[in-house]
Amino acid sequence: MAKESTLTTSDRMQDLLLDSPGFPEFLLGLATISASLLGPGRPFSCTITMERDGGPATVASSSEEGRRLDETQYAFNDGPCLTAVRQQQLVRVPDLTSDERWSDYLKAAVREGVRSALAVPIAVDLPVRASLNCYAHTAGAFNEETVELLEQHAASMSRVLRIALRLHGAEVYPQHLRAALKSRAVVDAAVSLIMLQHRGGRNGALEILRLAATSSNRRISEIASDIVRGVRLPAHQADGA
Amino acid sequence: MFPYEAGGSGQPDGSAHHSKGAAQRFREAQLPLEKLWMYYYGIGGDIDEMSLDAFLHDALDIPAAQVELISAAMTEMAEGDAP
Repeated sequence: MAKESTLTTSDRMQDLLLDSPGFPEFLLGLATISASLLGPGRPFSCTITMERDGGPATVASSSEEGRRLDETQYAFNDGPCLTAVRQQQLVRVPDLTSDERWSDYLKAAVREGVRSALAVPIAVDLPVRASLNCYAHTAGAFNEETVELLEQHAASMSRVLRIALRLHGAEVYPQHLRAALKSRAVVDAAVSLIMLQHRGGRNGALEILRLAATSSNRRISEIASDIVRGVRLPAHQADGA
Repeated sequence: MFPYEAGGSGQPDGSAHHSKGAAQRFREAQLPLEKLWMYYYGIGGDIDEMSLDAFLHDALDIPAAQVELISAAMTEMAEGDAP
């Protein structure tokens, strides 16, 4: 199996999807992964806010402080995160003490010790809207590099969040979706191993898996599971013959 | 191994054959698109459900590797349910 340290963020998000008993736990895990992305020991809180059209909001926070900050915005029904969610726009507040926007909310946040904030929209399917929000105790904590990192992270969260919404929403085939997710996790792991072994691309690795399945009359996910467990493919299959 | 492959060219690696075959097999199997997409996603598929729909209606060309995966998904689904 892959070593813990080599797990990518996207692997961690996929594992989270498989392991979470429910949507709130999943969202909480996403917030925690997001906070860990910003580096350990830095005074950041990350929250994820979700709104359905006119419906109630869901908030998950990597810390109690983050939860309070988000809930305060709901009390004011306005704030940087709600703007990011509702308008699907990136909102950056370099210094809360000198920002003119959302002044009531920002004053309340400053009292909580927050000095800068960033909210990045996460693209999901309507009528759901979501954003990733980060708070820091220092002014100007979100430089270009951090903004770029979080934008990329929001883009990769978009996919996994869409799947989670299907999985936990009004899904027509929940058992098929769950099976597909498990299978996908194994296939992706096998593809990574094959790519490493062959110094090849993803399509080539998928082709190797598919041909191995066809020639042995087994399912792709079974072959993938063998590979992940360390079973080597016979050479003629691995060569795509 | 390809239960729907009857009277084909006998050339399983021809991408044109598979492309035509996949759309036809999909119609014959009366499979919900959503189920096929999920299974295809499960075995490593990369195109989204709308593009899959377009492909199955001959309205979109997709990479050969994806065509093969869609074919494989239908074959495996015809053999039994869970991936």
